[in-house]
Order: sequence, then C-alpha cells, then structure tokens
Amino acid sequence: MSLICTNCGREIETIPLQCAYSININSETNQWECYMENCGTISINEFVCESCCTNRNIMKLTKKIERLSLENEEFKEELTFLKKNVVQTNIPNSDFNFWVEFGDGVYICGKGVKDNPSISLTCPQRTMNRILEGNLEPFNEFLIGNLKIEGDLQYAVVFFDIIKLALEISKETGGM
Amino acid sequence: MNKTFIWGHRGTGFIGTQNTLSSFKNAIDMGVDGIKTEAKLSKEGEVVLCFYNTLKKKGEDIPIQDLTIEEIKKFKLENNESIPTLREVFEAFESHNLKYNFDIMKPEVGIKVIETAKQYGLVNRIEIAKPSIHPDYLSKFFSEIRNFNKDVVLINSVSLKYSVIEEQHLEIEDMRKLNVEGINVNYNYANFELFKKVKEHGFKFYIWGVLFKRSMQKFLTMKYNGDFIDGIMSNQPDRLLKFRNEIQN
Repeated sequence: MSLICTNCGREIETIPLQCAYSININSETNQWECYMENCGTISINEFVCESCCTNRNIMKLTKKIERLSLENEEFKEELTFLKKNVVQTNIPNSDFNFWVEFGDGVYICGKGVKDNPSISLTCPQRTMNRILEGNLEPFNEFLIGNLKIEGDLQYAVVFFDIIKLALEISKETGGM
Repeated sequence: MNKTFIWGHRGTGFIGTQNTLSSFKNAIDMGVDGIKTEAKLSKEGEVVLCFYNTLKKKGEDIPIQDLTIEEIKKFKLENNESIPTLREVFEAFESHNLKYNFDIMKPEVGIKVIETAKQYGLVNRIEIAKPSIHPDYLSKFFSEIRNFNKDVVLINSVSLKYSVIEEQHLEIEDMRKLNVEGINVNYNYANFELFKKVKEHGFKFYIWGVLFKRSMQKFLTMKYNGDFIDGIMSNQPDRLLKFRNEIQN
C-alpha cells in the first residue's frame, strides 16, 4: 500500500509509525481510517509527506512572527527602528519559497517569490525550519556554507536577530 | 565607577550611510565615545574606511587593494559621499576626544593604521580588532602587529556559540602573551558568566551587535565587582546612549 501526499501528490516515503500501521480504507465511506484502540476509530482526511509538513511548519512559524508583530508592543516598537527590507528565501529542490518584509514597523510574510528582494537566503528546508524554531544558529550555518546569503549581509543578520527576539518574546508570553 | 563605553558602529549604524564622514560626525554629535569601523588598504597602501572588499569598476568587482585612492574616491556611496581615508577622518575629528576601533583582515592593514595614527599622535586612541569571522589563531594574526608596536590596544572578537564557553577558544593564554586587552562578543552569546570569566582573567569585556531595547537595558545594567561592561557596539547608538544616561548616571 502506498500513501500519496494530499498536498504535493508525491508518494510518501516516510514509514508510518504506531497507529498508522492500522490504517484502512472504509469501503462504505471511501475514507481512510485509523484504529486508535481505546479512542476508537478516527477518519483521516489528508496525508502529508515530510517535506510538505516541514514547509507548512515553516509558514506556520513565520506567520506566528507576523501575528506577534501585530499583537506585541515591544516587538512592534523594535520593527519601527529598522528600515524596510524584503527577504526572499530559496529552498533548493523544492517548489516552496516564502518571503518576509520587515522594518518600518511591520513584519509581513507570504508564500512565493517577491521581486527585487534586498536579501536572498538559500538553505535546505530543514535548516530553515530549525532556524525558525530557534534550534540552529544561522550565523554558524552561514560560516559553514549551509546558508547562503546574498544582498545586505548586515540586515540579514538583523533578520535572524528579529526571529530570535520574536522567539524570546513568545516564550515569555507563552505564544509560540 | 566606570561607564560603559559606547561605540557607534560605522558611525551612526543604521541611521544614514555607514562609514562616511557625515555618519561619523552625526555619531559624535549624538555623543558616542568611539567609532567602530573597518580598515582596508588602497593600492598605494593608504588606509580607507570601508566594509566592502571589492568595488565596481566598469561593471567588474575589483578588490580594494588593487584600486588607487583616486579610483576609490570616484566610487560614490548611497548618500553621494566618497569612501573616507583614515587621514581625512583623523583630520576632521582631531578636536574631539574620540576613540577608534578598526576591524582588519590582514596584519599589514593594522600596521598601516598604527603608522598613520602615529603621524597624528593618536596611537593611544586606536584599537585594532581581529574580526570574529577571521579564521586565524590570535598568535598568527596579532604577532606581527604586536612586534611592530608594543602599546597599541588589541581586541579579540568572537562570535560562535560554542567558542565562548570554552576557554581554549577564547585563546586566553595567547591573549596574555600578546597583551590583547579585551574580548568582544556577539550579544547573542554574552551573559553574566562570560562577563565574569573575562573580567576575572583581567581583560576588558565588549559586546557587539546590540540592537534591541531589552538587550541594551540588560547589558547596561550588568555589573561585576561594581563595574559595568566595558564597551558596547551598536547600530543604534542613539538609543544606547539614551539608555546609558538613564541607567548609569
């Protein structure tokens, strides 16, 4: 039996774990189901491959920072002291990219490509995910060549500092 | 009691065009104690203050050391100013009691900076710093400079997360041998434990990259044995000065 990613349509290579061993198609509803022992049976509406899952997580994390920029006064204030920059990420071997516009009091982000970014970041998907989670030091990744930075290097460092600040504030306020 | 020395990064940092005479002047007007900048050599061995390693000439990237002062001066920065020479800066601000901290990538640049400062009687106002991204060990990087001048202040900048918690990465023994005066740490890895350790070893403790209000307040408040952190470098020196006035007065 092979599983297909609902998002990208590629075959999922990840080995299902635990309860997913017992997934079946309900022939009456034509719906994937999973038997959860004491919890009964649950319907599964979508399967997402590891790659799409990581991409979703990346967007989720950067969207959380966007929300923080609207809700947290300290974070908002810090963004007013910075000039406007557009960061474009490039994830090799992936259809997924995202951009962030920060400075002049705003932090907004979206999927896809923005024209004329002031900073371009290229790194593997997992690296980007771990940086946004705060589990990887971007400057170290840059020094070992795992993260390529083009454009305004100084403001690229500020971009990562902004992420760290967002993570710190969110941790304090229980937001992330 | 000491006050934390405020270094304006490339002048006023994020305000205006960095590493220009106007940015240095604005930083002085703000009240900074010193200017942190980068020194490079022109083809004829004149010191220029510039972050870039190359400049565009007829669409081609040319290393600064391959360009004459005349060619470097033709290059216009964002605000239409030219890249300043060290002599121009020393002359423009000679009446100010200002210090200078120069990042250099090669020992010969440091030697030229010292030679120029000597001509203006400013050797006691300059510091030569090994950038945090430079791969050489301190002994290789600073020996020639120390042999050339035994008094000039040398600073060891470090940035990596795991290097600052291990003494061998701070190169404490070589710092002593070379009489390196201080350690300059990225703000992300600066903390009280490291501050205490550096001070106990008898070195100055600087922090670079300080940008946000919370970091400024945290580091301006930090004390060991009654002393504040020796120096902070920032791209927002105006904010930092404002907080220093509130906290350390």
